[in-house]
Amino acid sequence: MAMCSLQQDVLLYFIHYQIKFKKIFTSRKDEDKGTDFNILFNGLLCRYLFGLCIGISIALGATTASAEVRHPDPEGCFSCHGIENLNYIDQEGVLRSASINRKHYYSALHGNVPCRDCHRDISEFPHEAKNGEVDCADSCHVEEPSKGEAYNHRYVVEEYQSSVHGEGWSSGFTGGNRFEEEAFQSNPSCRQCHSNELYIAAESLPKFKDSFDHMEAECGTCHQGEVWLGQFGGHILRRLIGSRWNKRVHNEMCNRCHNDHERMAKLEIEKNQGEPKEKVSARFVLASESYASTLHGRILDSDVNGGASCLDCHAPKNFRHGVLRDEHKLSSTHRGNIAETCSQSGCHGFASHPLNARFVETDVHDLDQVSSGIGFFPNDSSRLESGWVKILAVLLPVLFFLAAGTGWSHFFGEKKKGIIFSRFGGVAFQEKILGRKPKGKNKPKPKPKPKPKPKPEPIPSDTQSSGLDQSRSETDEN
Amino acid sequence: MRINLYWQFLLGGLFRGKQQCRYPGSRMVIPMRAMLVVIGLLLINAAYANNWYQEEVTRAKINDSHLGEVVEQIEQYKEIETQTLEFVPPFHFREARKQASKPVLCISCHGDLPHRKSPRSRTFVNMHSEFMACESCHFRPESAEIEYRWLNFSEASFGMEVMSVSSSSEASSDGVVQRHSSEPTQEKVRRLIPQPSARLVPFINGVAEVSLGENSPLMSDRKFTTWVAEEWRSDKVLERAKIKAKLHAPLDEKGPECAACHNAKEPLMDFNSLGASPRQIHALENNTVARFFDRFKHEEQKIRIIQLLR
Repeated sequence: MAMCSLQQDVLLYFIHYQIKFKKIFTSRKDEDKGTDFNILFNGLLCRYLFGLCIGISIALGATTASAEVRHPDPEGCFSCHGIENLNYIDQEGVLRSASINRKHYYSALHGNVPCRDCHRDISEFPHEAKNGEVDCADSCHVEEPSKGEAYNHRYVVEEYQSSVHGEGWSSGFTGGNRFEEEAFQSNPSCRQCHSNELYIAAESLPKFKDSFDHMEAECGTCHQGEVWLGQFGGHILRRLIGSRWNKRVHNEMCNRCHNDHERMAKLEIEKNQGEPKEKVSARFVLASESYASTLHGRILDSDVNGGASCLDCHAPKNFRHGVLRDEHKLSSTHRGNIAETCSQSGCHGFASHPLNARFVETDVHDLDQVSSGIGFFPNDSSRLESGWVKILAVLLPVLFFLAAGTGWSHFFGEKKKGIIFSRFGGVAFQEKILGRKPKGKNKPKPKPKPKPKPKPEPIPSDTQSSGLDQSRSETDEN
Repeated sequence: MRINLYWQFLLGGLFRGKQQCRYPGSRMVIPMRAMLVVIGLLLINAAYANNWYQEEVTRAKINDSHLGEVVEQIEQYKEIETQTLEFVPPFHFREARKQASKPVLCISCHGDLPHRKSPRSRTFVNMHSEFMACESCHFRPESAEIEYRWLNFSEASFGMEVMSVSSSSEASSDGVVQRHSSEPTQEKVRRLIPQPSARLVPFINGVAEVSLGENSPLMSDRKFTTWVAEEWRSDKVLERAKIKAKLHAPLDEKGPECAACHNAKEPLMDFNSLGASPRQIHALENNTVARFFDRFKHEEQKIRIIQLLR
């Protein structure tokens, strides 16, 4: 056990006085040999005091040492990994780094976890890749504070494994197989969403210091001692800091994959258990777009705490890793559960009322709202469910009929040259429907009378024989 | 005052039209113009003169069997395209790599992380390449006396020597630098590398034994690089093999052992002259990893990590 400075001080203090006492009483003993009091005082009292000192110092040490900052590197891994710039390029051409920033590690979520709690089988150098594999469900040497049991992520992993993403990796992680995961895995693994991040992000630290400046004074009123702050403070702190996982952060995590349309379009999913996998629908591919265009996404876009995030609907309970397909009976978005999901605390409380049954049929991933400018439109039948498609299905035959009629009339209909026949408008209405002649400004203008043709002058008889005059006379006759 | 006299001595004859000048403090009389011409020629010669390594490259003779091996190497070479992993982030925090320095001749082919083969040592030796020129380890002619100095590899003052800032020297209030101050307050925080872009470079007879490539401020370097590039551009594999073999002829494929520098008795480098404080010198001479490798020398040897701290 590490001996803290206070413990050392106390121990040295009492040892010092024990020696002093011993010196005093030894001298007395020499003077008054055989006195019971001196023997008693010299022997028992000194020993008692010394024992008491050690007891107190050990007790103090036990409490204070456990509250100290722990640097869990019993195997000396940081002797190598703590060195900066330990980089190399592997066979696939990927830049690898074996350096781990020591300060960051100690300040991060796993700062109290010794390396070998995760990388269990590493005992030799160079490490075999398989010996460094991490299973997120394994327990570690950190104690869960409420029960004092070894901490683990088993329940989270179980929930994740039963979810739609459950085929992804939750074990077998090494630094070297990230390339393999990126190339061949479509489901998100634990590490795609979670990293060993700082308890408090560097940019939030000044604000945090201001906000929690009072913590020792106010919390310490009831929970006295550094032990409590050391053991439980960190845990509670994590819960408090957990609030930084706001709805936007959740959505960003989901959108990292779901907003990548090309990546989503390549997926194949098994709609019902045992059935062959099918290509995903446009509704699935554009889910992130349609969410952002509808009310939930737009409210969240304007207010961090408003609107509903992806997880608010798809994983509202437990550890929020249990996203299930809509078709799954236990899914929060299943037809039978959607009312309960919508009426959860802080949302649409009236949604579970029988009279509001139609409310839950609101399409919150309405494809009609998706901007046509996203440059990616999957070509499948699910797109035909759109309301616009239904309207077009009605309008197109009508438009076709009108266009065809106009064309027929134009090419094959009866034509009257020189007469403007008004088929539409007020004049036609008065003439044809009301059967009267239009009045006022609608009255048709009288047709201009044709000008009388000028009479031809008499033609002299000597020019009648020429061809030119002959043709002119033919024209006149016509 | 003395300096002024020297300048007068050197330049006086030239500008005042005198044919000769007396060396200050002596009766020596030298024809000034002749001396300036000699100095000029020496400077021009220095600018165009190759360093020891380049001289050895140009003089190198390659035998046929070695040339055959190099031809085979060139024919079997497969370029590895670098990739970045964007979708699966590393679990542990990684600091962004600092911007690579200007490429020197070696890096233009080998890249700035050249050591790949040995899983045991590649990261450690690559780490050294962040602050050492390749020639520091791979060019060590036995007949030469080598000293190491810091050279700037940054864009702004590429190839300029960087004066090492001694960590142990603290300027007192009167401006007098006191070496090896007993107070080690600044030693912890101050780094040995004087500038982020500085590299350790071997110097032989005061000349930097590094080929800085086409961006070098030295004419000789640029000329050497142009010659290498022209030879390499040849379509014939044999021609390429010749220049490759020549470039590598003066070099050792395997650099010195860790303990060659990381030892207290006779380290290859004078850490004190490079600016290391007593604490840093102690840490360098007693490096845990170097001692570790010193005990387990064979590449195939598996090492129990628990023995690392012993």
